[in-house]
Amino acid sequence: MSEVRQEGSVRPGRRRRPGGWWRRNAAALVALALLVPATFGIISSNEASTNATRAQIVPIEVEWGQTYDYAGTTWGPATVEELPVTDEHDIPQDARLIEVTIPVVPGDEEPGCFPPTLLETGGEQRQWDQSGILLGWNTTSCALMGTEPFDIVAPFVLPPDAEGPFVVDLELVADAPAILRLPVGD
Amino acid sequence: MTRRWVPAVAGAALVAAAWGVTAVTPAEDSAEQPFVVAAPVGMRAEGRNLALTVTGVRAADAVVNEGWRAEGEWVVVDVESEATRMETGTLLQFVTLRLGGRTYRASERPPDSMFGHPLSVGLPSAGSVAFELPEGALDAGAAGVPDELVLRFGLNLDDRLDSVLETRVPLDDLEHVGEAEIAPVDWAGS
Repeated sequence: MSEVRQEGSVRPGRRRRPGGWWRRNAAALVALALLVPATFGIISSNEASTNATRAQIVPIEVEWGQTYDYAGTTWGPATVEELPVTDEHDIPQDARLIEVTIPVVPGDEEPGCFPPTLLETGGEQRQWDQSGILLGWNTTSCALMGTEPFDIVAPFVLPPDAEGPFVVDLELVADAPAILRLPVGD
Repeated sequence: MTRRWVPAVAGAALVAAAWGVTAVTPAEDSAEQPFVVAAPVGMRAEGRNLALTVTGVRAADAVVNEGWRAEGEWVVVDVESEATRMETGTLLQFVTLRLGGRTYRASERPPDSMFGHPLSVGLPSAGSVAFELPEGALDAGAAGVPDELVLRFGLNLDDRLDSVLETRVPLDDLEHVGEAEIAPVDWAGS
C-alpha cells in the first residue's frame, strides 16, 4: 500500500519564489506606508487646530499698583476697600463685604468690558461674581460710559474663610479680547 | 477524511460569541452617563462646583410659599446648597424626582424656591424645592410604584458627563402632612 502524501495547496509548477508576495504588493505597501502616517497627521492637526480655537485666553498679569494700556484705554490700578456688614445688608453676618474700584481712562473709543470677577490666588482658588444684584446696589461697568474717565465699582460678598491675596479678572471687549488680572491684596 | 462537522461547530461557536459580545457591549449612551454622588438625607454631598445637603423630605396634600398656595400630590424637599469653585452661571437648575419609570422636574410654580436659584461660593443658601406629581402617584401598592423616590440635583439641564447628587428616600420613610411650607430661599443658618 503506497503512502499518499498530501501537498496541501502548493502544487508543482506553482511554487513561488521567496518574497514574491511583497514584490507583487509593493505598490500597495508603499501607499499604506504613506497613507497611515498621513491619516494620523491630518486627524491630529485638525484636532489641534480645533483645540487651539477653543483655548482660553491667558490673563495678562498686571503688576501691583500699575496701570495697563489695552485697546487705547488705560486700566487700573485696582484698589479695594473693606466695608462693614450691617443689618441693612441682606447677607450672612459673618460674611466679608469688599468693594473693588478700577479706574478707567478711555482713549478715542468707548471701551468695552464684562463685569469683573474676584479670584483667590491661594487656598482653593475660588471665584466670585460681583454682588451688585444681591445687595441691590447700583454698580458701574463699562456699558455706555462714553470716552470720559470713570471708575468700575464692584462689591463682592465673600465667605469668612476666603483667603487672600485676591486678584480681579476684567475681561475686555476688543478686536483681540483679553483678560486683565489686577492684584487687589488681602 | 474531512471532518464535516467542524465548520458547523465553528459557525455555531462564532454565532454564540457574537451574541456574547452584543450582550456585554455597553449601551451607546453609557460613555456619557452622569457621575452619581450619593447624598443621603442629612449628609453633605459634593460634586462638580456644587455642595448640597437634603435636610428634609415630605409629601403633602397642599403647599404654601410666600402667600401662594396649591393643592395636589406634592413632594417638598428642603435643601442647603452652595457653589464650591465659581459663581458664574451657577444655578441649581437640574432638580428631578424619579418614581417608577417616570422622572419629574421640580415645579416652577412656587414663587420663591431653590429651583433655579443662583448659588454663592462658600455661602450656603437654604430653601425648598417642590415636585407636583399625578394624583395617586405615591399611593402604596399602586401598580408599578417602586418602594423609593430618587432625587437628583445638579447645575446643568444636560446632566451628561456632569456630576449629579442623588438622594434615595424609601416611600415607607416619607412623612405625609396635610400642608407643607415651601421654605423661601434664605442664607443657611440665618
